[in-house]
Amino acid sequence: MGKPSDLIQGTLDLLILKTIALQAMHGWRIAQRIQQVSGDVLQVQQGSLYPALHRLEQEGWIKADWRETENNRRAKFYSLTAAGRRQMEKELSNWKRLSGAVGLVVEGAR
Amino acid sequence: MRLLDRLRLRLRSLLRRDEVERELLDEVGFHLEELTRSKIERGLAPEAARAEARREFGGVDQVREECRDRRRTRWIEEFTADVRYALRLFARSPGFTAVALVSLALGIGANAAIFTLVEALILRELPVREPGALVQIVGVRPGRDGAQGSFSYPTFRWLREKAPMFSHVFTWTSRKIEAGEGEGMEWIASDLVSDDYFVGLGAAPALGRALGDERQQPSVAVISHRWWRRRFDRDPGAVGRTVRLGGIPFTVVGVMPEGFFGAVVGSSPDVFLPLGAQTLLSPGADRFAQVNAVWLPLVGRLRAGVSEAQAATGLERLWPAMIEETGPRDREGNLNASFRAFKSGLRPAANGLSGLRQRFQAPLRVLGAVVVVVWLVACLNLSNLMLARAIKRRRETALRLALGAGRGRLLRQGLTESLVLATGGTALGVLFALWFSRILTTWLSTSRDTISLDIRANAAVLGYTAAITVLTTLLFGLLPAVSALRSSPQPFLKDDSHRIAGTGAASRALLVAQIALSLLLVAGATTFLRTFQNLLSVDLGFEPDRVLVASVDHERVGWKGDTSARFYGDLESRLRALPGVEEVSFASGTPIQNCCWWDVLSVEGYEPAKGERPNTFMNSVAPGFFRAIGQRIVRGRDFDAHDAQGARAVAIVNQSFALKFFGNGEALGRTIALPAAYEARPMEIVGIVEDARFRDLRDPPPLAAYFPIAQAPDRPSSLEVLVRTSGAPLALASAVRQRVHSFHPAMPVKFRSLAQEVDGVLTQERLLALLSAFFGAVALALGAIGLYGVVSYSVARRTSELGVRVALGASRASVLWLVMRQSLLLVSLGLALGCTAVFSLTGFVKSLVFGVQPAGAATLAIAAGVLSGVALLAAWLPARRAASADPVRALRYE
Repeated sequence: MGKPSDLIQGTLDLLILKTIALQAMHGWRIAQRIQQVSGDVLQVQQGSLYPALHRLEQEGWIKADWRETENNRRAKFYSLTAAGRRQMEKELSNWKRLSGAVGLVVEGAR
Repeated sequence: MRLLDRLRLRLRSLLRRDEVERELLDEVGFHLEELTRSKIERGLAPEAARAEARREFGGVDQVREECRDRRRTRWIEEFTADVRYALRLFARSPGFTAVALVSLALGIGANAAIFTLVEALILRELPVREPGALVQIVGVRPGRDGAQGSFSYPTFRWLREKAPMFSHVFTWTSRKIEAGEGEGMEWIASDLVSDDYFVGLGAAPALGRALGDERQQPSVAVISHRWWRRRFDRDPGAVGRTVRLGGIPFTVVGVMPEGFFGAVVGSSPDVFLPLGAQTLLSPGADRFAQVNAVWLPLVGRLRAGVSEAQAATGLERLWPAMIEETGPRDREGNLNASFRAFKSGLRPAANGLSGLRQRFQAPLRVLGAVVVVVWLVACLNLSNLMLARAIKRRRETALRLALGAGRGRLLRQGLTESLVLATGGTALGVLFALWFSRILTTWLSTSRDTISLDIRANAAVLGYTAAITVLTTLLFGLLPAVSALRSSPQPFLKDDSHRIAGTGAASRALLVAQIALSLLLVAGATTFLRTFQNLLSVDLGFEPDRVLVASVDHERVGWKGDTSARFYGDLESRLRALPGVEEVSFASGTPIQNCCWWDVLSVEGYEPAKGERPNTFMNSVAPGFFRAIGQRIVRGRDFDAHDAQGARAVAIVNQSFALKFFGNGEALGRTIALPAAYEARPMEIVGIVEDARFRDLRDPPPLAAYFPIAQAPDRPSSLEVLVRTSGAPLALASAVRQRVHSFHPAMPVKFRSLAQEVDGVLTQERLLALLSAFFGAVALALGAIGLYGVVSYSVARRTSELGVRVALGASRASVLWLVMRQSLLLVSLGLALGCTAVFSLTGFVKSLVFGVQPAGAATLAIAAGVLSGVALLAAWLPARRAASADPVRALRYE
């Protein structure tokens, strides 16, 4: 249970939305991709991924359909809806503002 | 669009729950497989890889649980589970469920019914365009109740021409009218309406056209939807057809939409005719030119942009000139004093006009209070029963708490059970309310006034009922649900339930409150029943039984003066020839329903004190009138054939009149005179009759004077024919009708019995007596059930204790007393509280009682006696069971 893998509250949504923005993916692939892209810094707790996906689906930001994977297994693929894209833009700008602000404070304190 | 998608998803998670769950399982399974595969690729043995994947993923069930939470349908799923659980529970105790449902149905249904009535009568707006712009024009006297709402036709014309703040001013008059002829003849209600009536009211016809300016051709009619259905069977071809109304052919030009009843709430005219048709229907009396005939209500529609306040100011300016030019005047040309004193007034008419509203305001208020109390009693009772159940279920509750159920969750479950009961009760209650409100409207109707209210359930009524249901749930469900959670679970789990002090205090408090409220209801029932009884046994001063009254409208067929006098003379001898007829007479009015007129008479030798204006009720009667209605002549003589038009003018007065004006002196032979306006000669008193009630049974008999019809100052246009029979009066109606029609086949004649007439003024008293008795009985029954339940429960809980007492030698009587003592205490506490409530509420019903002290000793004693009798019986049954129990069995009870 390394500390680095804990995700800041609320950022998981953004990570998921961003990850599937270009291409529909199933849950396993989303977790893999986040871990890969972050250079193994971010590890999605499997137990929190599916509840998050469910919630985003209920909000209408992502939609799911069953497709065949590359090794011919049926899996549930998630993709972004138009509303989800808007939500992603919103959260992205929020995130930029927040991280910028945190950066300023941290820089300034030095 | 998005909203729809979300809704679809929620619905899917709700309705296709299994499918959603299976998908989730598949999805998680896929994830685990992928995880395992990646671990195998990294060189782990398949078994180890699978185990590690599982460990890494965490609990599959937790994930599923959390996903369920995220779907936000969890509460609905839990709710449906709770409902199913509650239904199973209730099905297991049918006795409790039946009592709960019936008492709730009565409580909620009675409330819904009264509200339905109040909504239809008082709250609902007229079904017309912009009803908010309608105002009634009235004359008011500052500092006094009531208002002058009737004006002359000249006043109406004046206002219509000269009041710019109204876009329309309209008026109407209602009359019963015969439709058709011969066998198919029926009496229907008509409104004769002014030119601007329909456009002013803002009502458009469903078929054909409405009425406008019909001066060219006043014999046209617009008919109501109801009559269209009844008479024409919804035939669209009805427009253009001819109907005979009052013997005159009218052409139907339009049909009003369903639900339109004109401007008077509670009325339901079948036809609308032009006001000008009045001259066709009553050719004798032209009231249009007379300033003294005040017979028309005035309603205006505010011009767009004019506020009610502006209109009121404008009207105030015009008012003096209007009264001066068109107000009623006496023969010397002086303006009527009371009209001169009126100031202008505007009343909102969005909800229509209604005399009913005023008449039934007080009884409806009392009924409203009664049904609220009944509802409270039902809730308290149920709360108590639920409390006992909650205590019985404590072990279950404790187990749930111990297994980790949240208190909030358990509270929700408890309230859901209450909601299920309340909903069931409401469903039954709505059925009860539909039936009950219909019954109420028919009870409000008398033989004279048929009241018709549109009492279909609508949004307001449904909203009210739903609100009551929720309130009911909280009221009776919250206390038991909370009390179930309050204590710690341990002792229950250890099966020590008999050592636990119950929530006795709460249940006893509920019981006391319930008894107090029940006393209120029973005292109310006693009061209203005795009022009704007192009114029934009032000495009327005449004997209404076995008297048939036939109203004959001779002027309608154009008979006047000598022609009509001859007609009545011939009619009398024909009627006397009928078998069973004991007496036949005529009068311009009957004592109660169609009574008399009144004015201040001048009496020979009597100087009224300053400001004294003693009104005398007057009636014109034919010889034999007093014999016909059974009023005794105490001195002097009855009128006879010699008291004819040219003969010496005579009068008969009642005892009160004689006593007031002549004291102990001789009244016979003295003279009295009508006010100057009547142009009548002074009359000599030739007889004195016993006092009789007029109009209202509550008022003591007024001063009264009777004149011979033959000498009447104004020859009446219609007469009441009074026939005293030896049998049932109405059985004679068809024979009388036949005799009347033998003189003129189109002579309008209407029948009632004198007893019906007296009955008619007791409507509201009967209503209150019946309903309060009914609800009092309901409260008694609920009180008995409540007490029985509480005592049974406490006896059951103390079974082993009582067994020990008996085993140690306590007598059965002392055990009985032990149990009864508590009930006695509760009942007396409740009665004391109830008496206080009765005392503080007497002012509320003062105007509705007669000959009874609402908080009098007798009323309270009766109410308290009945209530405590029933209550103690309910307590005695379980107490006796406890006292006669076998001690050995009782000790083994646990």
